[in-house]
Amino acid sequence: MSAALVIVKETRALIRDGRLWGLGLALALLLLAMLALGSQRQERAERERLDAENAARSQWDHQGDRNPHRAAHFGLYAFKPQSALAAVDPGIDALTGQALWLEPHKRNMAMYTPAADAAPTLGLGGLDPAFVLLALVPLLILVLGHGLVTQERESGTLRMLQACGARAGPLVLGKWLGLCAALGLVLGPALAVGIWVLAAQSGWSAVALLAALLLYVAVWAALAVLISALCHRTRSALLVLLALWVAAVFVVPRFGASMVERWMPVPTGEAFWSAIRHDIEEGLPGDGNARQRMSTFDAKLLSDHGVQRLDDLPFGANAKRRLFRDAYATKVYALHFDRLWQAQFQQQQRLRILTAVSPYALIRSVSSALAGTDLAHRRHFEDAAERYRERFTTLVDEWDVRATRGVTSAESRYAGDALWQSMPPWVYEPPGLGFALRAAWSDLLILCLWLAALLAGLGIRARRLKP
Amino acid sequence: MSALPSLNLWRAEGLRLRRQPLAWRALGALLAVLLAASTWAGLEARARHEAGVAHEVRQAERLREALQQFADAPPGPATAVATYQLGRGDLGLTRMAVGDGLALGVQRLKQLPTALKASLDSRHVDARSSGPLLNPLLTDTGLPDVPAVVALLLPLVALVLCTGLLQEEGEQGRLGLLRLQSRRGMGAWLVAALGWRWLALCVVAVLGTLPALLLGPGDPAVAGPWLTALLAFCALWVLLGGLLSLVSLSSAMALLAALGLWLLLTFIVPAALVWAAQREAPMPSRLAAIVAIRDAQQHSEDHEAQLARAWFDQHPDVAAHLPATWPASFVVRVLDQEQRLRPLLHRFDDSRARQAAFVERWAWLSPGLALVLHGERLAGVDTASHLRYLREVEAFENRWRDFLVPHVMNRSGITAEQLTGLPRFSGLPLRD
Repeated sequence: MSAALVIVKETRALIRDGRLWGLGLALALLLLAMLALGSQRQERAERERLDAENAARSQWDHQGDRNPHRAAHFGLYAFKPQSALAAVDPGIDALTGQALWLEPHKRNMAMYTPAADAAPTLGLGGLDPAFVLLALVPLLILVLGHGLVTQERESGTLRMLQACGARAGPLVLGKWLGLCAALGLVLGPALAVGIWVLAAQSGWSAVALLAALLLYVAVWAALAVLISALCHRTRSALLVLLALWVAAVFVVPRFGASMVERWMPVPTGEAFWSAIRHDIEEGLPGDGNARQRMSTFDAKLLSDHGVQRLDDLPFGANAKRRLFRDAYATKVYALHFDRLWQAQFQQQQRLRILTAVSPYALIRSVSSALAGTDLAHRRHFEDAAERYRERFTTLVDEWDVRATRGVTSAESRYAGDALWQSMPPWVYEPPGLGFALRAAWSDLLILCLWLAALLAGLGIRARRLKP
Repeated sequence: MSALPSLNLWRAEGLRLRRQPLAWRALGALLAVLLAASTWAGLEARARHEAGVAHEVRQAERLREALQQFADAPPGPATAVATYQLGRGDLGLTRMAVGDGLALGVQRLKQLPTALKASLDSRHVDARSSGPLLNPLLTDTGLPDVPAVVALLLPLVALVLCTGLLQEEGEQGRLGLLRLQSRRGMGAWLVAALGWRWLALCVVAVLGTLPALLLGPGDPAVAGPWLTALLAFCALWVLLGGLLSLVSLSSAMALLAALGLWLLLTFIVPAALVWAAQREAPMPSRLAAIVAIRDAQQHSEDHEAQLARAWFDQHPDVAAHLPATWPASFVVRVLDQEQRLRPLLHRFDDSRARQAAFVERWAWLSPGLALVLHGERLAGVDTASHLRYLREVEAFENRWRDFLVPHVMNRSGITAEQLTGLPRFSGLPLRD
């Protein structure tokens, strides 16, 4: 008996099984509804972001006459754009701030996390398309696939097949492929519609997500057939698979994350900000404290220009000193923020190791990377915003250096709309597919290893399959 | 025929359950997960309590340092600036008070601002939280609170134990025999079977979650209302499993129906309630609020001189120093911004309160959600408690500013003696 025959037989059998259509269509409809809701939410959020971005920029552009430094403190805001795929997997977006305030001297953290404003929930994550695809589709696979081998055994057909000389290898392989084909039949149209709509905006990322999902479905289908081949009773197979599903989706990733948080803590806000304050005030090793650094700089300024007082300098002394001070502060901020990001990426790495036993945890990393809602994309955005902060505050101060002489009062208003409008706009270009794949390649690789291991397991089990 | 089982029936069903290895494995796995989750939560709650005590000690130290700093400071502009810096500093830090059952809601705290600072600056654009810095990835995927773990897993085990009881007997050809043997009818038999399962689940749930409350810092008496809710929750799911046993389905289909019921009540109904709550009380846009905040900042910048004059008019006891310069000019601007923005910012709290009220009103549709909300109330981290904290911080900030602003505006600063009357935040019922 060839594997092709088994595939056709299994696909036909599953198509005749009411569960495939009942549960599969219910899931497909739920997926489409979630996708529609998610897309609607994402579009609304993008509209809101664009409105706020334009309004904040317009406020900046039309401040009127101001002291340039005080205007710089009024600042600009950076808002992270959402990709179309964020409608599928919102990732960490609900737990990160929505707006970054860009101002001189200080590097801020993003403010206003949506989770803080959310209505009370169970605390198990939202019911979004990612949950339907990554958690509920495997459940459907288990429900459909748990009895594929056990039922043959319980009804005695396995013994008959073996008596007819059918080899077990093609049999289990056919069952696996048949299950995949049946799933493709019922979920394929919903997935294709969803991805087709999203691909218009997300391009190859949507296609890559579809490919990753197919790999994921294949892993769960192989697991279902393997457990079915290992168990003697259909009910036992279902219960074992159910336990594995609960462990993979809820227990392993959540315990893993909590363990990492406890074993590799990041500093508290109080410690983080006070370390930055300390390093700016007292200086990094070998740099001297802020007062010493400033007096050395002042002395050099005075001697370079052959004057005795800052007031006599032929350019804006305050702005020149601020440029020097802020360059140092930026260096300190970069150092501490880099450390914080490194700590968070190390946590992610450790989590990856701890949760490699869960295909669900792996695919979550892949899907959030492709949707641009993972940690790596967050850092990319915040780093870009920081570079822009440095640029616009430097430009304001450089103008101030040129436009004034000596020491000026912070109360005097000598800059106007022309200066504000000359600042380059904040344009954020999200990274492409290559960046997402680099962020998630190890998860994808482990997922491939999972499939290879399960298929090898199926092969080994097939050789020992007893009726 | 009485539906109450006889003693022999109780014994027989107890024996049958004892001999089901699958049931013991499911119960054992549930106990292991609950024990781990609740131990974790208990330790986290204890750590938070200790951090709270350390915070109190640090605040006392900061106050001592401030008293020393101002002891020899002569009145004048420099002391006024120092007073301003003190008013923006960490002395104004607060911590949200929590309930005795903190261990039942310690994870929820991570998503809420619970360490706000009263300040002479605007708190609403402060992007430098003193609270814990959290990796959003770990917060997103980390352990939920103990009630959520119970709400997630206990129903599954209850349904595995209770669904298909009758159907299996029928499929294995024992139903007729059972009918013959059950002198008091099948009802009594089902009551005995479900009763034992309920008891087993209760023991596991109680043993599994008690460490959270015992290890946590609160009064163990909070265990009473928690355990009552837990027993009712177990009873409900056992009952649902029992009802599914009575439906004329095969045992496999009954199990699938149970799975569907679990998905519906644990995921779909809560998500639908949240969706409906958002429609009932839409949350204003935080991004639009930023634009409003900037408008208020612009307005106060444009009217700085008038604002300072108005402030001195309202405080004739403070000698007017006009035109106001930094930091006095900044302080009046912040006060003006606050006055303009509070109604807008209260709209967020109102929406949250209305959404929470909506979800609470309909939570009975999802037993798991109802259990989680009960746990949050016992932990003191429910929406109402958090909104109360926000109001307390606001009131404290008013007192803070009323006390410090005159000392900034008078260009003399505060004295050490006056500093002893610095307002304290009173919302922290910590026990040692």
